[in-house]
Order: sequence, then C-alpha cells, then structure tokens
Amino acid sequence: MLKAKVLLTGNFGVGKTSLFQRFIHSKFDERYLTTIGVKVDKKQLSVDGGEVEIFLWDVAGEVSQDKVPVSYFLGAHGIIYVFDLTRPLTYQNLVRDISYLKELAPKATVKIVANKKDLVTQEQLSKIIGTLDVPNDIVTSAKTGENVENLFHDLAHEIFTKLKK
Amino acid sequence: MTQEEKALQQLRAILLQSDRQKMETLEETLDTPEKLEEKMRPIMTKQMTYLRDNFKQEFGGTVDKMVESKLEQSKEQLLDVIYPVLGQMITKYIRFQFQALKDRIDSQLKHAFSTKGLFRLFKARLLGVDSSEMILQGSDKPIIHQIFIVTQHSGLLAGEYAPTAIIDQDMIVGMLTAIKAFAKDALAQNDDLDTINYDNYRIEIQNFHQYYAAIIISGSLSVAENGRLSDEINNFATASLNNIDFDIIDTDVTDEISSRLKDKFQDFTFEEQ
Repeated sequence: MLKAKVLLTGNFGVGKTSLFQRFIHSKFDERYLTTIGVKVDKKQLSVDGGEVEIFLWDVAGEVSQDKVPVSYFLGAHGIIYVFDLTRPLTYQNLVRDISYLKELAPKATVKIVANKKDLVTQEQLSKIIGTLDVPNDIVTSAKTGENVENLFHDLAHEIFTKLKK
Repeated sequence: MTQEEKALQQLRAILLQSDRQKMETLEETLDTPEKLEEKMRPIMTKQMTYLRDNFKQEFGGTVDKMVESKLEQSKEQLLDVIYPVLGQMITKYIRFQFQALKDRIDSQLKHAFSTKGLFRLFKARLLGVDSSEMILQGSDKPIIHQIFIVTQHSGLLAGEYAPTAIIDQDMIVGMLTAIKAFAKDALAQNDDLDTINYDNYRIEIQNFHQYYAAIIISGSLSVAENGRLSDEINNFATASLNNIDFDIIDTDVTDEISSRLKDKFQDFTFEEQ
C-alpha cells in the first residue's frame, strides 16, 4: 500500500473542511485547524492495481495562497484547490494561485474543484465554468456528497499511477 | 607458363624478397605476445608518462563534468551520508561544552557549605554520580516510548519502533510534521524544531535531509544521555537508512525500516554499559 500526502486548499469558506468531513470521519479535534492552520487525517482507497493511503492536510482558508505557510505544500503528492461557485472572489485569482501552487509543489497532481453545486442552477453553473481562466477538473457538493468520492478516487488513482511509474 | 611469365616471376621474387622477410618478421612479432610486448612497452611507457604528466590538461574538463553530473544525480544520497556525520560532530562539540559547564557547576558546589549542598554532595558520593548531574537530572530514569522515522516534508511514517504503542502513529507524525512546518514558517526560517515538551514527556527530533527521527521519551534526560541517544540515531541513519528511497513510501518500506529500528533499539538502554 502506497502512502501519499494531499493538501486541501483554497479561499476561506469555500467548503474545504466540509469536503474533508464528508470524505473522512475525522478523529482529531477542530482546534488543531484553528491553532496551527492545518488538520491532518487519513483514508485508505482502493485503486486499479493497489491501495493508496491518503494523508489529507486540511489547510485553513486564506484569501491568497501565499498566506499559507510554504512548508505545508512541500512534499505534497496531490493538491486539491477548492473554490466556491457562489462567490466569484474565490475563483478570480485562479491563474495566479494555481501557478503558485505548481511552483511550490512541482511534482504534485493538482485538482481544481468547483464546490457548492447544490447552491447554483445548471444554467448558472455553465456560465461560471465558461468564465474560468483555468478549467476546473470536477464540480462537487460537499452538502449532498455529489462527486466527493469521485474526486478523491480519481486523485488517488493519478497519484498511484505516477508513483508506480 | 610462357618464358616471359617465368622471367617476370623470378624478377618479382628477387625484388620482393626483402619485403617478404620484413612481413614475416612483422607477423611473427604480432603473433608472439612476448615480442609484441617488447616492442609496445617503450611506447606504452611513454604514453603513460605523458598521460600522468598531462592528465588534468587532457581529461580534466571531462572528469570535472562527470563528477559534477554524478554529484548532482546523487545529491539526496550524498546529503544523507553527510548529515549524520555532521550531526555527530556538532553533537560532540555541544556535549563537550555542556561537560565544561557541568564541571564549573561541580566546582562551585564543592565550595558550597550549605546543609543542602553538603547533603547533595554526600548523596552524590554515595551513589557515585556527579552532584551537578543530580541537580540537572531528576531521579526518574528516561524511557523511550516510541521512535518514528518520518519523511521530512510529506510527513509520512516511514518506520516506527513502539514498545508501548497505543496511538495511531500515522496521525501523530502527520500532525507533528505540520507543527514542525508551522514552527519553521512562523518562528525560524533556517532552523528546525528539535524538541517538543509536554508534561513529563518530550519529543526529541533529529533532522536529516529526506527524513527526520522523532523519539518520544518520558522521564528526565541528561545531556550525556541525550548525546548518546543522538549518536545511536545517527549511527542507525548511517548504517540502515542510506539505501532507502524516501520518495515512495509503501508498506514494504515501512516494514523494512520498522524491522531495522526494532533490531537496533529493542535492547537499547540509557544505563551505562
């Protein structure tokens, strides 16, 4: 079984911790997140060809990614960048944020996630997706659970394939 | 064969006789190793002397490039070899300085006339230990509870030895790495966290390039004991972790390192041998 570090990052209030909670039944207290700005938990996933144990770092939301301690990104095998479909402020700096993340963790597989699908109509969703400077990888709803498992499974599979090469 | 052809053959035999003899001699030389060696030796010796005297000029650039390229490729492994050695040197120097400090304290205590001081001196003599050691160290003996080997940045547990394990080690080292990263960013950009104290426990952290060792200890650890533990960890790193690829951590790697840790530390004690 392979082990991999995955970072969950993005603006504050975009639903990172809800995705985290939806994916993992967390054992650790919330105070870790508020104290040092990150909470770590793990989950084991089966992918084609083996097992991956994901260590998910739920990073406290910041308006800009350069406010997150740089060391948190080092050694990451995957990064999930989450934005909120209902708040343009959270996806207006996609180009800058994603290139910053790729610079810090060049080996990481990056997934751009449009969250809170349950709060927009299909028409609004299409319009927002069309305006993005960097295409998103997946649309999720932490509230209904839509695509949450798919997101983590796809990421685990990509990391597994990359590491096993 | 006509008369002309015979005459031509005789003429050819006369003219080429000398060349044929030379060819035969040359063939014999080439086919006889001893004769060939005799002919080649002066040439080889001359060439070797030339190479020895002019090696840098002829091949220096190429060798420099090869060494540079090899060093670049093996940077990670090289750093892991150097780290424990550097660590040991620094540890020894610091231990020496602490020993000097202890000696000064001891010297002062010898001149103290208080009842407490005399009693401490009496007890120290009775137990055969330094009085300064008794002040600096509590009476409780240090005990190692867990040893973790953790990848430096990703915070993945690469191996563990835990005689009294009751907690989820993966989660502990994940959060420990996050705390290290937080401290590094928030407090000192160029230094790494090396100790965390909580209640009667402490976590000693020994940093290497690709990984770090975290040792959870209870009780009171003297400077000498800490130095010994540090040496043991450095020795373990040098002997058992240099051939490990820390880029990919899977169950096989974790089991292998855990097994090596157990072999090394299951009989480890802070008691002087």
